[in-house]
Amino acid sequence: MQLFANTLVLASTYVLLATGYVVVYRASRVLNLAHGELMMLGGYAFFALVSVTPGQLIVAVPAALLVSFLAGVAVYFAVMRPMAGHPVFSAVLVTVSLGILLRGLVILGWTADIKYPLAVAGYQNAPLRLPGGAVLSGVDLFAIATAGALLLGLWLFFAKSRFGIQMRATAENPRLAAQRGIDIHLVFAVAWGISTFAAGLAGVLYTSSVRLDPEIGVIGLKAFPVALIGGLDSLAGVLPAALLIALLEILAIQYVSPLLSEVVPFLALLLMLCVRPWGLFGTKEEIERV
Amino acid sequence: MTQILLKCLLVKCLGYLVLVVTLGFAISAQAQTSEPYKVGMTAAITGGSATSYAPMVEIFRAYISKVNDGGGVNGHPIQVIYEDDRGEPARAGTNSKKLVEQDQVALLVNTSISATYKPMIATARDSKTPLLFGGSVCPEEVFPPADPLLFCTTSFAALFDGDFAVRFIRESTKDKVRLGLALLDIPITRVGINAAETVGKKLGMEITAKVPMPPSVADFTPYASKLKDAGADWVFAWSPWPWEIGPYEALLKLGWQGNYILYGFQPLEAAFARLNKENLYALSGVALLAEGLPELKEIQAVAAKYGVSRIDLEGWVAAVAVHETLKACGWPCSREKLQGAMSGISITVKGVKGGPISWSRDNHFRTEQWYKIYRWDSAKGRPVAAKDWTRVDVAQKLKELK
Repeated sequence: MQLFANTLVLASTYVLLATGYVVVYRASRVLNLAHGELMMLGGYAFFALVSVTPGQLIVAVPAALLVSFLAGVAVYFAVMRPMAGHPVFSAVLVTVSLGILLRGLVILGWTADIKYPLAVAGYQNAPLRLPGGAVLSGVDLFAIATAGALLLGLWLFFAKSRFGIQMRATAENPRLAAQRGIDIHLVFAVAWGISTFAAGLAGVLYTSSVRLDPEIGVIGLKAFPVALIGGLDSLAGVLPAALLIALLEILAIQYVSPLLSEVVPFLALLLMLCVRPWGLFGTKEEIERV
Repeated sequence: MTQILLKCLLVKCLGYLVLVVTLGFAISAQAQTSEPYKVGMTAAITGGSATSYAPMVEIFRAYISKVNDGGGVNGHPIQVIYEDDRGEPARAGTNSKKLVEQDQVALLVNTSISATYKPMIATARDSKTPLLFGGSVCPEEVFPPADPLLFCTTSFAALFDGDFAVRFIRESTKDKVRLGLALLDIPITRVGINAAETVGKKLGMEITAKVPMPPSVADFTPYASKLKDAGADWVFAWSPWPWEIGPYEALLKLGWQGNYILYGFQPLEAAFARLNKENLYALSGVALLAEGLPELKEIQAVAAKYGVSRIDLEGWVAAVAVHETLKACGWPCSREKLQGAMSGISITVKGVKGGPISWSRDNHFRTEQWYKIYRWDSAKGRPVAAKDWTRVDVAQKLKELK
């Protein structure tokens, strides 16, 4: 039971992060390699806000998520929009530089010290015993619920809302969408905003549960195989891929070697690339673009 | 008449000569007074390891500023040239070459991760420059028979820490101990954890799980679950701080009720207060600031004066060692002379360490190692000693462990 619970917790982190990769890729065909650093930025925004409003998580968390969303929009307008017309490869390189820049700025602002936003807020991450004997912390349970809610919310947004449908149309054929009067730059900006919002959620939850320091951005790279295995342009693939990778990692830790957990996601990715390069639910055509 | 003129000229010339010589001496003396002792430090000031090393550099810098403001050493200031290696071996190699060749430093200091040692040691050997490991884990080469050029002030030492921690566990409980071990999987931590495992087995403990963790961990819970499921009632962790405290916090989340012991790095004091748990123990080779000793208050005052926000006492100890060795070297201080001075010095850092750091010709680690074990007292709201300063004879312990 504990193994199952641990799998859900790890998968929820991967869902939150992989969703960000997929949303940006669907909209702009850019692999955002600064996604981990944007998660870190969300964590620092949370820390900064919680420091000025101690005990007021109800204020600090939404405010940190808003900051994350706006950071994504700002990244699009400041960095990605000027890259329009350049090869996608250049845009990917720009995201690498962005990641380095963000890490540097965070060290300048907050030093490399480890921080614990939840403790600053005056809360403890207490253990909760679940039916079946598994034990999880409050933040872990919240992370699982949040990941589920995010996926459901995005599905509703893309399937039912007018703007979501416009986003899907833009993702499919930006030129045609623009000709039909859709503001594609707004669509791209919102896609970046949603992506960093999800990264911000991951940042808030991870830093509440583990720690906050400038190096947590590497966690973003761990979720990259999840996005690729699920299918880079498929939100539907995120959940099964996250569950699969988390389960494989946890089985490796428990029954083979804890060190294998680092390799397992990439072994799975390698296997997937050999068998089904477009991922579990990805579009076959997309692989040519990659 | 001619003779008188010649005499006058001679007197004048002599006068000029005296004047020139006097001025020359004065200028030379002036130059000598302002000429600094040059020390080169390469440290992980930024990068992934900066969390551990940057606070050491900060307090090191503050101590050196204090010495220079007080007139320097033997009338000469200490000029420390700081280079950031980000914990990267290639950068450490380039930095150390620059420091010995371009800056002509008399002493190299390493405050970085063990991966940076190899290129630095090579440079130190090529240039015959003494190299002090100050705040970075002591390499094997400083233990007897020591490399003549390598010295270490750092308190944590893989072999000794594991041994001491496990012996403390044995003393603390009469029951059978089921020991779990946690580590970030890098060579130096394997040495420490393997030592703990060997000693634990010798002392009749059951080693229930040894859990190595990779460098990027998204969630410590699965690793903690492995320790908990194995039935460990004590866990010893010896690694960089995030991999020490991470499994402990995950064990707490899982509702584990055992005892946990780790090496107490600089973030320990904050962690003690934040977690407020009495089952967390920390062994340390330096005192905790929370003890409030006058010497520690003085260090805090120096830190405040020079704008240091984070104090890691390992940096202070390294700076005291640099100061004392330069003092013993005198002026002028060549690399060779400094190496000679370092090989027989005893450095006392009162209030910070349990005993002196004494280097001998063949032991550049120290002849005696001191430890104190702390735990959090929630009633008092501060850390207290679970075991007071205890001396370990290094030569004897090495014989035992090897």
